[in-house]
Amino acid sequence: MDSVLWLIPVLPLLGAAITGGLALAGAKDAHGPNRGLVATIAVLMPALSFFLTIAASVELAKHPDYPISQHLWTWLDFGSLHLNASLLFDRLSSLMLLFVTGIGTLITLYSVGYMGEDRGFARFMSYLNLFLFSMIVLVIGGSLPMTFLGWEGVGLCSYLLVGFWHRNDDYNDAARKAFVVNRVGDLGFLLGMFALLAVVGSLDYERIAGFFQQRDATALAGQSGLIAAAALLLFFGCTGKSAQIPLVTWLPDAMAGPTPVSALIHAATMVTAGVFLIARLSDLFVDATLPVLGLNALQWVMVVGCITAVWGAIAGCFQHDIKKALAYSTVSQLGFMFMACGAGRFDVALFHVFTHAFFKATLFLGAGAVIHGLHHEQDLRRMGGLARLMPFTGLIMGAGWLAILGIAPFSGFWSKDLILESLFASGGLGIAIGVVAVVTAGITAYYMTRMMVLAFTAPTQVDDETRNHIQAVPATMAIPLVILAVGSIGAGLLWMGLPAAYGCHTDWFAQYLAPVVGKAQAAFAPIPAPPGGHEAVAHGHADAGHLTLAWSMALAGTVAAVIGAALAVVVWSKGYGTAKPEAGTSTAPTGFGGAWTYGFDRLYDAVVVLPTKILGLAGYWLVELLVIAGLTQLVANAARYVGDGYAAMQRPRLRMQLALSIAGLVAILIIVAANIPKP
Amino acid sequence: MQYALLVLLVAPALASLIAAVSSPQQSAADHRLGFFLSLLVAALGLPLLWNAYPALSLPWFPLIGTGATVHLSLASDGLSAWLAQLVLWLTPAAILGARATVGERMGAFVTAVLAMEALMLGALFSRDLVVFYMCFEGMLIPMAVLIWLFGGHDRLSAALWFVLYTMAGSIPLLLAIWWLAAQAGTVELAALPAFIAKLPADQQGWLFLAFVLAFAVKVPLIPLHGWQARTYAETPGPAVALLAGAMAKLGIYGFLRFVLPLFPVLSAEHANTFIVLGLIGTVGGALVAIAQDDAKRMLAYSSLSHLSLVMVGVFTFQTDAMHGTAVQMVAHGLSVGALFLLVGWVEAKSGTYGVDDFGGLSSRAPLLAVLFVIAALASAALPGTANFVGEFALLLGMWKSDPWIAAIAGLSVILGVVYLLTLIQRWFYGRVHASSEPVTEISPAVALAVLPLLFGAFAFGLFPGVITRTAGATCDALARPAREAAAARKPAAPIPQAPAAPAPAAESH
Repeated sequence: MDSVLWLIPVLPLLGAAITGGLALAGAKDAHGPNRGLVATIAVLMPALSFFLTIAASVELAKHPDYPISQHLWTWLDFGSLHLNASLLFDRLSSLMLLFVTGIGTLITLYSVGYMGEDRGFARFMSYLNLFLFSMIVLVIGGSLPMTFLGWEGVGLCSYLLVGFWHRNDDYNDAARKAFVVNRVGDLGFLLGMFALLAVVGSLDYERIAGFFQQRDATALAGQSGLIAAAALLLFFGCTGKSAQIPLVTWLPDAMAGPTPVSALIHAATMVTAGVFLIARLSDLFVDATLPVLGLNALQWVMVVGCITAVWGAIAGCFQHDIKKALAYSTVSQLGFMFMACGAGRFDVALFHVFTHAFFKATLFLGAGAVIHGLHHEQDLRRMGGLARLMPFTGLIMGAGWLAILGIAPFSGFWSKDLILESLFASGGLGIAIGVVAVVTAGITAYYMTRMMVLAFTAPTQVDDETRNHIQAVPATMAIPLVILAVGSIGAGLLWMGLPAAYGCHTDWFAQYLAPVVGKAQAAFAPIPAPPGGHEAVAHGHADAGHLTLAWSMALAGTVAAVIGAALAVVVWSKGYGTAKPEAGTSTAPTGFGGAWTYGFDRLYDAVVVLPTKILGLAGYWLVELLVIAGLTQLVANAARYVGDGYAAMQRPRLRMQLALSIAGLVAILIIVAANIPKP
Repeated sequence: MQYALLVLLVAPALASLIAAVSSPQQSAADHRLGFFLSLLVAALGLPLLWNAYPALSLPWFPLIGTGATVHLSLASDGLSAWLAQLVLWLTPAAILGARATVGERMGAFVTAVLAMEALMLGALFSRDLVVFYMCFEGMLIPMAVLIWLFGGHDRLSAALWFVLYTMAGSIPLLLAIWWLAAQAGTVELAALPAFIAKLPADQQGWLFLAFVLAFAVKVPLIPLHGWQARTYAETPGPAVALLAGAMAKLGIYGFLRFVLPLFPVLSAEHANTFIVLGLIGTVGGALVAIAQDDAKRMLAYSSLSHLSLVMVGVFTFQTDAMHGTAVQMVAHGLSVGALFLLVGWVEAKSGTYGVDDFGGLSSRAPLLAVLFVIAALASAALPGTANFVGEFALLLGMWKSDPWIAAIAGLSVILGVVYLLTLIQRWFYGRVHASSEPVTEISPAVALAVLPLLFGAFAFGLFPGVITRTAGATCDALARPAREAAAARKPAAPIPQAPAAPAPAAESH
């Protein structure tokens, strides 16, 4: 297995190259390249990667403590760097890859139906495959620079896909904004790598983990400043990719992309890369204990996650666009994941990444089916009553809705409950954050229920013309929807360990990740003993408190969800009433002017964008043209008299002059060569 | 084999002569001939990579009145070899991509480009200051001719501006070399460091200034960049590909080959000045690039930004940064060469290159769009490209010198995508402008010229070892004296605090 690991990323790359080539070759053709061929290649390649990932995971299961790795070639080898291009397939990469390639394949299949009529179908499929390649490299890379390769790669693909319909300049603005904001975070990533390299002397993941796991207290204390800098800079990178405050503003605008893109990139996979990175570097984050502005690195992660979760949830309550409501929900849910990281429970954070991937993909693809059915209508004010018009889609989205609400036994219940639990268990700041998180869970239930009510049960606002021409959901879209909905219902059971009937432990998922994040978690909180929980069960005493906490959190989360949902039903069951949208009011993404990021956009416009432009213009007009060019002009004027002679050269004579001067040069060389002293 | 380097220098000069005298005065034939000859020369230069060509030194002529003899002293090492590859392969690419720009006067274009190639190679291989200076200055003539013959509406003035500006920068160098010849009795590079080290401080200072001035103009280093934007704007795309891709590297080459080894102590002493100027250029260049409304000026300021970044790295003297310098010079040459060839095509077809002059080009010319986007991404140092390896190593070196230098220089990472994405969006996306009408899909020749450059950008990004092992090691070795001088300066402060241990350095006075 370790010799074919490279195929997992390379297959989608091949798919991207082939479909991209076909797109270019068919550019002049009126119909574009053969859609069947494109679709087959584009779906087959990620599917093959998925099967290879399963095979590798099976192999890994035999030796859980020995990750499969493959050294491909020596990449950066100079000065202080000796870095191989290497792949690392351990439990963490295995988990991430399973759902990246799995959900990736499903969404590619869905796109065959959703984008089949689009003129740029082959180009779209090529970008999707390129995205999967980058995402796989991000996850499977054996070192930080390898991950960075995928990290910027997914940013590029996000740019290409958000601006996919590039006739529309608003969409182009949104795409550019996404890339630039991500680059701001990437600078943090770069500098964080330098800081970490100064501490560890290597950027290889296994070396980094090894360095921190020795926990040589004096060695760590001497470098606590650099370690904190590394953790915070890398976390800044994560806020860019995972759309956390302060770099949150790009994600809502990114909804300009086709809906499958929103589902795959801006909900299920790419935006969770920040959580993945923190889990991957859990040993670093746990040891970054030096307080910066009063908080240590993990506390910063927790606070930023909390603020973002609240902000995203509140923003979600005011959206008219079905995709934007889901986008803010993603922002908010990512905040929950970061809160779990901050509480030192990286396995819980990844569990939420996992369940969220299912239910958010379900919701987005369901929304896609709605938009598809209503002929590109995504304004909630023109929906309502869809439960009768498209019952299949309603059922699917219902599953996703119950999951995100956190109603037992749907998947979101388990992961959200665990997050609340870990926050309260971490004590201190965690308890305050935990209270906010419970309230946020209530707000989440409110805005999600509002969206569902407005779309499916409120009095219909769909005009007759559309109602009579609802587009059916084709099989290529229906199959992924069903599979993902089943995932939204059942994925949570993995924590329970598809239950003990199979002889597994009750926290199978935590066990699965323990070889990667277990040591960091044990170092963070030796008392709750999360990774070895199954052993603690036998000891009873500490576990009694643990169980009480678990039950009370389940109760608190459920109550908050029910209250939020009930409130939304009461407020919105009549729909918007008479407050219909004015004709021509569009909810389409508007580049830099999106609602609710508006505050951030205004702020950044005033503080960053405008000064940049002014500096550029001032630099050009004042410094360049006035000072630099002016001074040179003075000199040039003096020299102009000399130049008059030069200007007298005329074209017919030029060739002769050139020939003569070159002949002279060669003649000199020949004379020299002839005079070379004979040895 | 003994004279292989000499043959390599004479070959393009001879090719230039052939093109000049045998030109059938017919564009297509001249084009084929020029391309064939330049490809032949490039193939001849390939063995440089495994250092197959031995050094040679032949006495040429006595410098009258100085007692020094000028030698035709040629040698190649990792740095010379890789920059020579850049020159050798960008030349056929520029010729191949020039058809639409140059039109009927292909014979003159090929003649000038090949002459320039010969002189650039001469500057890269010469280890004799006088011969170096002849080549370094001689390059200006064919370049000026190219601007004058094929430039925009302001071409005559731009050609003059270019020649006079860069000449003004290097005339002090001529005097410095003359003075050195008279004092030292030699102009051989190998013999000079020991001689210069013994000179009194003020004389060293004047010499240092003369050398720095000549190369700083060429890089260009702020505030000596006045010639750049205007020259790039008025020069035809394929010629800028050579100018920005290859010729500008000779400024940095001069710093590495001459300034650091000849003046290690002064370089270390003034390192902060260069770092500050470099940082202003890195960030300021990128900011000004955002404000540009034509593509060529934008790319000119982008080049200013990228090469200033290299200068900052050079003057940290860090091993990582020196390897980054080597990779970044090759990488920048490839990406900026590709970008200017493509801009050259657009300009040749439409007569304009303003940022707002086009729209929706990607549907009219998909291949042009794809290649342009890839070249722009390489220029923005996307991981996987050689530009990323170069920037990564440069920034790493800066971080080791002082994290704040890396943080400030790193701003160009963000600003770089702002202007490039703006240009891409205006030209290739959005609604189709009426003015996009004349721009057609690129010809196979242009695609063939650009593709190997982009392939190189990715190949060296994944396997940068081929550059770092040779060119990187050379740069590092050239910086060693300066690095040691800088290290010797640092503990200077604590010594007075330890009166118990008398400083041995003080006694040697």
